[in-house]
Amino acid sequence: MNWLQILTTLLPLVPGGNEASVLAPVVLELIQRIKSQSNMTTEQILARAGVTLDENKRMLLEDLERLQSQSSTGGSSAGGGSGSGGATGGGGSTTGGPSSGGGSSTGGGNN
Amino acid sequence: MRRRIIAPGLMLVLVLTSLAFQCGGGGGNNSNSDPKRRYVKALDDMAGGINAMIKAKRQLAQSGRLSRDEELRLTNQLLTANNAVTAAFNMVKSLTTVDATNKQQLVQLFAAVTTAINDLGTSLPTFGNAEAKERLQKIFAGVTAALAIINTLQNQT
Repeated sequence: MNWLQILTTLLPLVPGGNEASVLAPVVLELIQRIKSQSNMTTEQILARAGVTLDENKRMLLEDLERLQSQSSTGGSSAGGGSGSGGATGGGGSTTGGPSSGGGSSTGGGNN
Repeated sequence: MRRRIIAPGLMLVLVLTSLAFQCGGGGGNNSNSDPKRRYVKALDDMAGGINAMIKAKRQLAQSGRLSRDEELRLTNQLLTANNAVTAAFNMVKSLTTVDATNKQQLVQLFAAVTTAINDLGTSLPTFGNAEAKERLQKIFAGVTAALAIINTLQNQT
């Protein structure tokens, strides 16, 4: 039984119509991600997690900058960057391990 | 009336997503019995969950369902959570094996992750817009499911 296919089929049927279909892509992307782990080596999953964490940090810093500039210019509604696509690849997601070092500012707490 | 239909629907999506995290891939070529692999998978789940929350946050802010202050607060909390997960990731990445010798360090790092994720969770119900609240809580359920896996692993090692 492929539960992912079942989920994919069920999601559009969820009552609530538009709301469910709007959030479905994000949820499905997440489910696909988890499902894909079974076909990956531990090193590949590590590399992907590193790239995602770097991407998360970049997106969040972008958002912070946008929000802070909005406050200084008195901008009203939350507009701005939905451009999450960008550099998802991050240059060789699989074995290119070192790229995850980008999260350097967080490493401090290790010891 | 319409909201009465939406709420159970979103609840169902939440349950299905949580189920997906629990099932997390199954057999395959790569054994789930390796503790390091299970930590790595849970960290990857969390990274993906945070990524999904960022995307949802942007969508909600663009459509006016999150105020600037709410978005700013959520952004800071997501950044804290992402930093905590990154620190744990760097630690797990540096290990060749997960056992009793490095358990204490992992416990400390994951305690920071738990705190950051809990802080994030407690702020979600305070959002003014019901739809924003529900959507973010649904994705958040996935992140907490990954955290539950880590807690289970820590009790086993």
